[in-house]
Formats: sequence, C-alpha cells, structure tokens
Amino acid sequence: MQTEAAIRATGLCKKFRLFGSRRDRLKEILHPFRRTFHEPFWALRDIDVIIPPGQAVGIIGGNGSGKSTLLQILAGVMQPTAGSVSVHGRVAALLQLGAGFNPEFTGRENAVLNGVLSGLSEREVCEQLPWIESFADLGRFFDQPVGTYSSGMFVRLGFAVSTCVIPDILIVDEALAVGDAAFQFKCFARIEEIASRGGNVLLVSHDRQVLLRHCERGLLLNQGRLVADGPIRDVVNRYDELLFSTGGAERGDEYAATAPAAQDANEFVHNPAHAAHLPQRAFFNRDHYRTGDGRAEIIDFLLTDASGRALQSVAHRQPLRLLMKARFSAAIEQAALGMAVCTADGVTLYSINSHRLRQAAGSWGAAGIAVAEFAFHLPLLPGVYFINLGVYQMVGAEPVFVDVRRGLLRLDLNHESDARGIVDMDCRMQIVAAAG
Amino acid sequence: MRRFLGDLHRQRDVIRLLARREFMSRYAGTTAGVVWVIVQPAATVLIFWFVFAVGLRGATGPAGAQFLPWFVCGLVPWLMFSEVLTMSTNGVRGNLQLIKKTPFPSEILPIVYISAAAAGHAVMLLLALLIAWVYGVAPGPGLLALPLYFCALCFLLLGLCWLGSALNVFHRDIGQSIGIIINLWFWLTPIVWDRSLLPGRWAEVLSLNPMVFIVDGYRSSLLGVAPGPGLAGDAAVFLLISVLVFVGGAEVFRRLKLEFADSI
Repeated sequence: MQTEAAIRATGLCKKFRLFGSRRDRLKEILHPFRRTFHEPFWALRDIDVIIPPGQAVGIIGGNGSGKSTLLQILAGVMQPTAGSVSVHGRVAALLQLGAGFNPEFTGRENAVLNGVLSGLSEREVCEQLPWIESFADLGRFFDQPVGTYSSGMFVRLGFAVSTCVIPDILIVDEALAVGDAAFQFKCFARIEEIASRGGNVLLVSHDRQVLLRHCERGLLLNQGRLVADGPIRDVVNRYDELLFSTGGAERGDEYAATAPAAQDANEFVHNPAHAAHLPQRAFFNRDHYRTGDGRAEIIDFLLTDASGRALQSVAHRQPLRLLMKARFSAAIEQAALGMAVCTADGVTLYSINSHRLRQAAGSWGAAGIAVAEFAFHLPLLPGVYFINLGVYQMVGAEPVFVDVRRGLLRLDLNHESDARGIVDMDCRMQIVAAAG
Repeated sequence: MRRFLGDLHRQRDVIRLLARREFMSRYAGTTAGVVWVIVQPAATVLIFWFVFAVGLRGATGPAGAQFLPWFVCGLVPWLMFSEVLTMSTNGVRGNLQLIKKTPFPSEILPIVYISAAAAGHAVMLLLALLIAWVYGVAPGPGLLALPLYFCALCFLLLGLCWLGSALNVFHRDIGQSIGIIINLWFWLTPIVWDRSLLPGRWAEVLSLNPMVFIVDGYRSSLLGVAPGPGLAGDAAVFLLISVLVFVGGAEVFRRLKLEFADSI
C-alpha cells in the first residue's frame, strides 16, 4: 500500500453492558472468576473501515444506530469491546453538546485545557488564544465560567478550540446544529479549509445537504452495523430508504386486518365492511406522525390510477385518485377531510381540504363512515414525497385536528429527469445563440 | 502497568494546568483569598491545642515533650493526607463531563490533587518549624529526611486515591463514607495521642496502619528527635502495605477506567 490509512478499524465491536445496578457492574468488573451480571447491548458490530488521509466522511444513521459510539471510539474516549482501531495523527473531536468543558472554568481556561487534552502543548494553545477568542466571538463571556453559557456558545467555544491548530483528523458529532446560521457558515468554511489542507473530516449529521456538500464518502449505520459504505450521494439515498421504509405490519394489533382489503376504487367505497387496512396498503408509511383528538379515525386509503385500479408504484405525471376512509366515533359538526403533499423535509407542496373546496362540510353522525376522493397528478421531479391525510373540525376558519396523519403515504418517484429541484416545470431549453 | 506509568509522564502539561487551576479555584471568590491556606489548619491546631493542652493538660502527649510542637508536626502530614484523599475520591465523578467527551487521562487526578495540596503543605511545614522554634527546637539535620517521608506519603496516597476514585464511580457510598473513614483513621493514628499509651498487643495491631510511619517520620525530622528503635519495623510494614495498595489501586483503576465513559 502506498499511503498509510489515517483511520483503520478492523472488526470493531462495542458491547454496552446493561446492569440492574451500579453495584452489579462493579461486581462483574472485579469478579475473580469473571461471572457476568449484565444484559448485553451491541452498539457496534463488526465495523471494518479504512479511511485514507484527506478524505471527508459523513456518517449517517437513525437515532441509536451507533454513530456517536463509533466516533467516541475513534476519538479515543471509549474502548472497543473487540476489534482494533488505529488512528494516525492528532485528533480534534467535538462530541455532541458540552464538548467536555468544566462548568466552573472560564471559557479561556477551558480553551487551554481542551487544547492540551487534544495533544497540543500549553504554549501552542496560548499562542492560538487570540484566534480562538475572535473565532468563537463570545465577547465578554470568554472570561466567564462556562456554566453560564448557552448551548450555542458552547459550540462556538468547542469548535474554535478543536480547530485552532489544524488537526489531522477533525470529528464533529452533530454539534454544529445548535450554532446560528452565520456561525455554521463560518464553521463549514473552516472545515473546508481543513479538508483542503489534507486533513480528515468525520461528520455526523442528519442534514443531508450538509453531508452532500462537505463529504465525499458516506457510512450508513443501522443497529450497529455498517450497512452502506460508498459515495455520499448513494449512502444518503440508502438512508432515506431505510428511514422511510414502507409496509410491514410489525406494529402489531393496532393494525390487525379483519377482512381482505379492497383493490379497486368502487369496492373501496361500497364495501360495507369498512375494516382498517392501513398496513396492507401499498405506499403505507409505518413511521408516520399521528395527532388529533381521536373522535374520528382514518382507517383506510387507496391510491389508484384514473380507472380506479390500485397502484403499486406511481409513474411520472400519471393521473391519480386517492381515496381516504374515516370512521367517526362521535358526531362532529363542520367536519372536513383534507390531503397534503410534502417533501421529505416537511415542506408542503400542496394542500387542500373539503372546507376550502366548500364541499358539503357535513356534520357526520356517530359511528358514521366518510370517504373522500382526491383526483390529481404530481408534476414533481424524482425524489421521495409524502402525503398527509387528515380529518378536522372547522371552528370558524381554524381547523381542530381530529385525526391527522402526516406522511401516511410515501411515494418514490423514480423517473429519469435532467432537472434538479422539486417541481417539474416541464421546461424546454435550447441554446439559441452561441459566441464563437 | 509500565505503560500506564509512562502515560503519566506524558501528561505533565495537563497536570500542571489542572493543579494550578485547582489551587486557585479553592480560594477564588473568597475575600481572604490565599490566607485561608493558613487560617483553616491554624484553627484546627488551635482547637486541638485548647482541648488537649489546656483542657486535658497534655494528658495524651509523650512524657517530657511539649504538646503543641509535637502535635502540630504530626498533624501536618495528616492534613495533606485527608485533603487529597477526600478530593480524589470524588475526583473522577466530578470530571465525568471531561472524561466522556475528551481523551481525558483520569489517572492523573490524584497527582493533580497532590500537587494542588502541596503548596498548602509547604506553608504548614513552615508553620510547624516556626512553632517548634518558638518552643526552642531549632531545625536540625533531621530535616534532610523530610523529602523522603513526603515521597512516601505521596506514594501511599496515589494507590489509595486510584482505588477510591475508581470505586466511587460505580459505588457512590464510597464518596459518602469517605469522611467517616478519614475521621476514624485520624483517631487510629497517633496524632493527638502517643503510641506509648497503648498496651503492647494493640501497639502491634496499630503498626499495620501505614500512616504511623509517616506521622512519626515527620515528627522525628521536624523536631530533630532521633527515630525510635521501632523505625525499621514500621518502615517495613509501611513499604509492604503501600506497595500492595499502590499495585492494587493502579490495577483496579486501570480495569475500571475502561468503563468510566460507559457507566453514566
């Protein structure tokens, strides 16, 4: 091999031992015959990663997937249970909030202490203090105890200390999210500088745009395993798949089906059984967000083509019919049914409800069933989109949520397109004149 | 173990920084400031002097010796001992934020507290010499042995502090009971009472207390008294026990250290 790896992890495992009490932990550690008193929890399993010098790597995964544990091990704060790690170069780590400050020390004292702990000499840190002070831009708070800081100020100080001397490896764990926009911009400029000078950057973030912009390679962790390792764009896409995985009736009884689900619009509307079929539906997103007072319940939906046949996937600009069925357990005056289309980050692209359409905003009686149909098409570019369905009660012009399910349907639009963005404006472009 | 000790050497900057800060923070914000370094132990000395020399009329001191210089010279190493042990026991817990978020060398904490306490210790030594001089004892060549006893004290402290601070992370009762333990230990050490007061059997049991060697050592070198015939035996017992404590403490700490970041 020509170049030495900056970070090499082989067969890395981390087991957290869950103990009934602290005493059990102590008993186990000091037990002469190595008896065990714990329940194992594997935070990391068999992670193999080689990161060459100078690479910017984004680490992504859901909550509890092991990202922070991995970073803590690479930063040398935590010991792996099995496997080996070798790290070449000086590591500066900004691990989550608080970054390891002593609340009684002033910002200045913590800066020196943290710098020394990260492997600099006291003289080196002191030479950098003016830079740290101006970068963190804390004003008079720089000489106040860190205990008085806001979370944003913590990060300002932490990032300034971590990067005051260009480290060989910079580890940032989600911390920057609490900084304000201007500070984040400044931080990423500094990160770019570190990367351009040949330093490694390891970034954990839930912000896809941040990862796409600043990393070339991505690592996707799921339940402690490395499930994807490759170009950042591919890995972010894999993450989306994982995060919004459709289908699956694992949630249990809540969604237990009682009768076969209707597969065309006519049957959906007129089948008298009116059973709940949500988990069997194509496009159903188990991990949707639900809110409302529960006086009515959305029990079923069906996405069909123009002729009313149930769809398994959506083609570009295909005319669609979306049916929703709600069961009312109490009489609701001025009830309304609605639908909205959103992007993965929650931007509403379109929303409509029966109240705004001045559709017979009826007062539905107890134990009644209401079915609404929305006919539309999606002039959208490829990507992941979500559909919200809701039952409201209009009190004046204000809706009260009765059963609102955000992201109940997940649509993956996979058609080819050369354009970027969200809305397919169907632009026809040509070069009408060219110099030379 | 050798790597463990080698790492200690590499952390000089951190130790210096933390010790200075530890020392300053104790007196920062008080009006009297560093004067407290003297006032607190002086108050202790005054109370004991009043109770034992005025109240009980020196009933517990050795025959033919002045109570006050004799007592103060024994108290000086004890104050250092109890201060460092108390601070260290809660040291790891108190610094968990740093330990969890930075590659913090937690094994240096006892050294930090020893260094921070050393300044006050030096002041106390001067005070003890002053009192001895007032009572007509001039500093003699015995003082040359003092650094030796100081090192012995630090050696004993290191092992004890590693043990206490590591166990306290997992077993909070240690931190709560350390005050009682130290109080009990104080009375089991011949500081306000003389060894000659004990019947033979008990004197033997007592000599298992490693602090006996330290306290007697400080006394003999500060007051210029020739060490008694029991010195070799006391030294042997001290050496045995403190080496055991040191090795045991370092081993327990080394094993538990891997769990600090996981445990909270």
